[in-house]
Amino acid sequence: MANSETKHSLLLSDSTIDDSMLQKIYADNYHKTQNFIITNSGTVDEAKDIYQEAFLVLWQKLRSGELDFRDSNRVNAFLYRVARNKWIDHLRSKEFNSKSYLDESSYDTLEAPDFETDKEWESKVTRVAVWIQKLKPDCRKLLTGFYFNRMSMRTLAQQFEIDEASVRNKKYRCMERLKQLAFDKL
Amino acid sequence: MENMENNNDFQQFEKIEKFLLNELPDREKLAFEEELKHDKSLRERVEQVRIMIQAIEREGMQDKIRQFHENTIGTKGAQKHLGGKHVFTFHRATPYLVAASVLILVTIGLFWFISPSPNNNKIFSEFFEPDPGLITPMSARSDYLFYDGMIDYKLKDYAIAISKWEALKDTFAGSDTLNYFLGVAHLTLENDEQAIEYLQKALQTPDNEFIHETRYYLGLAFLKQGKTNEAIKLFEESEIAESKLVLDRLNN
Repeated sequence: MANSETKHSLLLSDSTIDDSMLQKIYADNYHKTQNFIITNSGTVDEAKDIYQEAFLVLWQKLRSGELDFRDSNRVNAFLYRVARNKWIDHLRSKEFNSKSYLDESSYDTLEAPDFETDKEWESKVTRVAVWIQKLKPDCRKLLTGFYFNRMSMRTLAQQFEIDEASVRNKKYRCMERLKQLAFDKL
Repeated sequence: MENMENNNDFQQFEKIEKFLLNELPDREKLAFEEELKHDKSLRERVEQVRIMIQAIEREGMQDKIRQFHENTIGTKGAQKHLGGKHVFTFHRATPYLVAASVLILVTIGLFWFISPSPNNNKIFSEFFEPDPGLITPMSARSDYLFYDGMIDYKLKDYAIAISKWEALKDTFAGSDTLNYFLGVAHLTLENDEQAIEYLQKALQTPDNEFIHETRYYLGLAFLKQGKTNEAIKLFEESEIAESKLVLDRLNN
């Protein structure tokens, strides 16, 4: 439990990171990852998908303060490693497992010790994310507003033109619906 | 009985949520952690909520990541220059406006054949379509606030967009873009007086990148108010196709 808590924290970092910084990190690391994937049997589109998945993982590490955006060497290395390992996992998946596309030594377990143990967690989060699309638009808006934008109950109450107690109730019902959709199917 | 269970579930959910978001007071947090050690089903519930929240956060972030890609890498893989300009350019909106123009023209074409004799309000409602809005890149903080409102605008939450943009009035007092979109948003909500005020400000801005669109929407606002002569003058000065079509409609 404690291990999971520290690795998958939802707490907001004290150091704020704004979109322009994130965009710079995104741009600075994209081509290196793309080159790796393209030279290892991938396409430009696959490179983009894998890179964006990796960037989401990085963003949550930055948001929770587990990584400090000011430590650019570590941030860049983390992003590249996650993307690279995700691509290697993709190559190892059923579709590819009968062929050898990549030197096994490329898998970066030494530099990314957390990645293997995070895989199951990543898979669960990704699968739950799919079900968010099945929620009604006002549920998606409310949940994103509260958990992603961290908007206050007061602001959300104004947006939805209902009182704060009703917003809390509505949020709970939306989360229950997501739980039903996602966890009955996992 | 069922209500009581529902209420307990609701309270447990809120406690879990507060725990995960670090909003529990220290004493309650310690007690909750102790409870977690001994209650497997509670541990599972906490993990479910934690996974759901992370998934929601990622869902929220994905739109931004797509924008990062569009802003910096583009569709051909060539990296664009990153700038922190505070001037909002019109070029970003061009594909949307082209698409919107086609739609407007099709709509106009349909009305052309089926409409009875026009009057100002009828022409307004026939022609008025809010500007589709700008794509929403992320750069400097102040730009971000503007584009944050643009997301609401594009979601048709015009009142929220207006409240966010009006908070920026001092920062961007002379911005053609801000005044233009405030005008169109107000016009969409039928706040005609405010719409006219903002569109007139945009009209007076030197080098307004939206000058022809501003004239078109201001013309529509005047038309709705029965100020036909002022409207005609603006439509005549506006070089966008829709203005010419409104003029033809008025002449017929």
